[in-house]
Amino acid sequence: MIRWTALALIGGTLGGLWACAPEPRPAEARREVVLWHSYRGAERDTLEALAADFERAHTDLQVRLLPVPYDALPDKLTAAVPRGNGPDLFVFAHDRVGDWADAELLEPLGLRVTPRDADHFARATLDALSHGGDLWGLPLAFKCLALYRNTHVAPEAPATTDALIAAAGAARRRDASVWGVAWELDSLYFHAPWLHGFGGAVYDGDTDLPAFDSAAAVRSVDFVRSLVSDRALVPPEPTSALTTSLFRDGKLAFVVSGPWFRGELEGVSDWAVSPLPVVSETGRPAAPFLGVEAVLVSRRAREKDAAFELAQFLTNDAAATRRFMEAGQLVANVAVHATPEFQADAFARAFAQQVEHTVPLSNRPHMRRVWTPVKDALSAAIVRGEPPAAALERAAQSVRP
Amino acid sequence: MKRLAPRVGLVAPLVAIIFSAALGALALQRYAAERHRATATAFVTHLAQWYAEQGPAGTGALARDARMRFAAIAARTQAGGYPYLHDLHFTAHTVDVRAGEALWPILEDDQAVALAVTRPGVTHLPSGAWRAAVRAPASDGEQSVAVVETQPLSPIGVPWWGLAASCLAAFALWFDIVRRSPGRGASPLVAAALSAGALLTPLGMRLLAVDAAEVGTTLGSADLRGAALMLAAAVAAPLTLVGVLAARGGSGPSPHRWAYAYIAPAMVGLGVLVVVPFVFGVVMSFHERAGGAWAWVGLSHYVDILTSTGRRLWEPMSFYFTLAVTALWTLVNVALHASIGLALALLLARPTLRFKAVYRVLLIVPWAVPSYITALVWKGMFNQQYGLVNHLLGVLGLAPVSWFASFWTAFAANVTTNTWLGFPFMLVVSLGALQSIPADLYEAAEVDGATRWQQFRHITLPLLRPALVPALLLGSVWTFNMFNVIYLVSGGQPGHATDILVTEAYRLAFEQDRYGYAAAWSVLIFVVLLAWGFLTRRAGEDDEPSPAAGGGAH
Amino acid sequence: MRRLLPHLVLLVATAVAIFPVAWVVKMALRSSQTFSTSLSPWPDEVSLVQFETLFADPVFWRQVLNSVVVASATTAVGVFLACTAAYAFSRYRFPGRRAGLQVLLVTQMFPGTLMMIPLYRLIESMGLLDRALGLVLVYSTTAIPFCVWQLKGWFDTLPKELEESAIMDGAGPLTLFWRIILPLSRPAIAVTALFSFMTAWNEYVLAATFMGDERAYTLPVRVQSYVGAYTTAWGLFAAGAVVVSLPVMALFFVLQRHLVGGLTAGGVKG
Repeated sequence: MIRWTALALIGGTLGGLWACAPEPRPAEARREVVLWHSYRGAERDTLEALAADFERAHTDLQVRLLPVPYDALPDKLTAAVPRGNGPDLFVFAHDRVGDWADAELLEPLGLRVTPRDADHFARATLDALSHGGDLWGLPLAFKCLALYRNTHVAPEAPATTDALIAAAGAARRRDASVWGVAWELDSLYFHAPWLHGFGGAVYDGDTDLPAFDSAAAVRSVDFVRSLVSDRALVPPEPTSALTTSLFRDGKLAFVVSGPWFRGELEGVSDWAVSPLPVVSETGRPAAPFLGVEAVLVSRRAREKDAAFELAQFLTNDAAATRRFMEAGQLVANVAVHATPEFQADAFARAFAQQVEHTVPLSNRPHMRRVWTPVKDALSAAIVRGEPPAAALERAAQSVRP
Repeated sequence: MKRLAPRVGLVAPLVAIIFSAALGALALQRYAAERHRATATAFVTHLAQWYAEQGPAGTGALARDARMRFAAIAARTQAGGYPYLHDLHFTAHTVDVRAGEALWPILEDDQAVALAVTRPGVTHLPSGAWRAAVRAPASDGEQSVAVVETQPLSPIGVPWWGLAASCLAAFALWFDIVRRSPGRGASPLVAAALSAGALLTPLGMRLLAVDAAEVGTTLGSADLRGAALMLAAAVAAPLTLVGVLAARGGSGPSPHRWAYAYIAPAMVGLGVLVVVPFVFGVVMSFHERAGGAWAWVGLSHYVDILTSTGRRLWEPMSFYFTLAVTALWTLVNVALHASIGLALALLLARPTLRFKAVYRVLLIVPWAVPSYITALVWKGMFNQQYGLVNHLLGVLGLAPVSWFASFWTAFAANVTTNTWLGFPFMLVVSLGALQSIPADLYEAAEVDGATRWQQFRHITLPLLRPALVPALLLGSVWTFNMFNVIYLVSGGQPGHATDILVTEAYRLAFEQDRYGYAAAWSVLIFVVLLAWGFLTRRAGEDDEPSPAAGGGAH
Repeated sequence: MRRLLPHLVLLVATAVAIFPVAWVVKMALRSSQTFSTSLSPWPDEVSLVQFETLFADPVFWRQVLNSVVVASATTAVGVFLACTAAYAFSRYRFPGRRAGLQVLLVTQMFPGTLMMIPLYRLIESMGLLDRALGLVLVYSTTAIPFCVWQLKGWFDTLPKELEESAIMDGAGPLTLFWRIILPLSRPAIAVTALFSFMTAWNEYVLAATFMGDERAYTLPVRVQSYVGAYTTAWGLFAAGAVVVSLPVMALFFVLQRHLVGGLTAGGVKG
């Protein structure tokens, strides 16, 4: 019995090896273009509608969309793409472009995009997707922070930080249960507007030397500390859940947040958005990071030409208009910014104004190393009250090469 | 010599079969890759030349033309013996270069154009793709450069199916030999032939130009040393196993063959799916990723970790501090889980209790609801402002606590959440374990006048041991590596003090991109647990059934 | 008072056990997607709109089926392999027995977070990517060590005299296993089955990474997809979590009968 088993196994091995040999693919089937994304809700519905339109226009192509949970997407890409199992193109934020371009996961688009095509998009968004002299993706939408306010307790948009502090203080004095302003205190992403507003920067130019322990940075941390401890304008432990809840209940005058915050404000009507104020001490505008959501083509795509066509389709002006109107995305197409619908939308206009005063988030790998150390430093200095200079210096030390 | 022959006869066929099969699989794949290469080269050259002849053309028209052209060439070259043509996917474009003008303003260094001008012809790119660039005849200062590039072809992988199947086949044949001819092994002729095959394997690999990097690597462009390490591990492990089994089996049919057969599927599955990734992790710990490629760094990661480079020995994020926190975390949690689970199980095991089923089902709820949402709810409960815990403290007249601002309070929050999540498991195990104790033991003890406590100490506890010990041992290993709760509840606050070893490794890998360093960290975690397992192995060993069970059962 | 004390303790324990879950249910019964920061776990509105949204999507039901198939297969494979292996470890004394048990323990010690990519390549090279079988294999190997240890510990408590008398009556190994050992081991098998099922049912990282089609996802992947980059759809997240929990509760309800099976009544074991 054992002998037969052994012979069967050997036969199976040979059969398996034969089965592993590549088979010829049938030439006439509709070719499939695979796109991975992590959209939900209205954004996902719009994407699916656009994909359907694309299929109608290209009868030899079929688009397969795969929604992936947001925190599983980078790992899935890193595992699948080098093996050729990944998608043809995918939608993701721009901050890993440098990393992925170096790791040969992305297809360079420089040769395919003409200058005329490029002019459709806001220049800053293309810069965010450039690395090593080449272009690595087409921009879908941009995100940055802005200032939300409760129009009931703070009717006017503050133009300077002094005005912001005055308005927040006044709201708090009128009703002690209302807090002045809130954002995630220990996050570099949320602290960045103040860092840049005081003249600081994360890295020194294009080098790898951290600059967030500079005097300007320390001043920015002092500014936030004064809001928290001296003026008691910020609620303790302002997590996003608390901030959302307080703002919805009308117990928070100002919130620093991004376009996603609008989705949390269903059923709430008396709010408005304005660009972040100018820092009174320096006269510079508080400049948040600019994030770009882009469609990126995989280096190992099976259908590269088709993938690029789909990428161009999704980012052309007609599709961008649709994405703005139906899903509320802040598209990067300048033509859409000029339309009356866009101009009439105060929300979109405020963010478009803010874009002019943003600092692009570096897509180089060195950027990813700073988040945790700076978070520790901000947490120590702002939340636990340690001296900011020492905390920032420690963080810079751990990042320095 | 007489004693040596049976042993060689046992081991040699096994080794030979494995290597021969692997070699055969590799040869087949090598052949396929060679055909791919020939096809790709011929095809791209042909296509690029054709485009160059056409002169300048727009990119869009080119793409459509390319497909038609591809079909025509495919039809023609099928007959020419290129069966792998259908696997090729390609891109093609022309670049119109006027004097001094570049196509894309950001593209400072147009590599394809430069390539075509300086090095026309076919090049093999690092990604595995083939690119051909041909320059068209110039006219009026315009040049047309045709660049055709294929899809990168996948690198050769290790033929797992072939290896696994041949290992199984080899094992079965060896088993049969052992069973049927005790002490004599295989026919000497067959053994000699197969041994020769095994010895010739390295020579064969050389002839087919299969280098170690292709066979052993899975890290993309890892260098030779890592690959050599992996290959050595992959080959050494089964050989050692075979050698040990053969040596201890002695001559004659193994009386333990049924036992081995019973445990084989589980062990083989574990071996492949757990050991192999771990070996890769070990190799990764000797490298670091820099700009997309892996570079060998030797032991520098381990040195950095064990000497706490960059921070004091006894500071958060140092290996020793985190190890101490992890040990404390494990100890406290396991103690709480076990005591609460067992206590509740004892209460629920009373025959006279009513509503037992209801209690049981409700107490299982923390285990049933996914931890990724309940951990976040607990985190909300510990919020300083709106959390329930502070509210309760207020009701009791105590001051609200900022739970995540200091180590002990954050630790307490983590422990509370993990205990809530973990006690149902111990409860279920204890319930099951209590069933193994016959009731007449208790009856006999009561007749003898023993109190409840004495019954617990002398009957329940000793008899629970064999059933509870696995849960405790494994539970402590799982708690040591419990990632979810720490990450979601305290997030390592304050300042990484409540991070345990796994969460620290995760941060290094995914938040700071230091994969090699994180891999070294993980290997050290494993070593610590291994040492702990060695120290407690006596707890897991079974003993002969204790007199109480043996006597009472009759 | 003595009779009430156990009830009191159990009531407190049960209350602590369900309290946080009450919040999850509360968020599932609301019509908005915000996190509930109020102190009371009682639902402030009862709206089934989140569940309606979930159930209306046909892909959801397909994903439920996938989860059921994968978890059941894992349970079957895990319990079967663990039973045979544990039986061997318990009843036979063979060289490598102790080492084998230690190896089982040791395989649980590898931190899983960094084994994703090698595991991916391994499953891919077996051609099992995007197939339920790949997930079943990985989940089974995760569950086996505990199951083997647990069952072995249980088998150790079964006296050998039972088998010896059965052998003398002419029972072969198969009959021995099926007719004598297994029926006596119902509690341990119930624990093992529940554990294997839970291992497979709640896992989402590997399922999200290995599967390439939305219709092939399991339920936890879908639930986790409601957690976005900046915001979480708490209503749908909570509703999904409730749906994920119910089959486990049902399974436990079915298995608990065996968990407290009538061994202590004497009979065979006495």
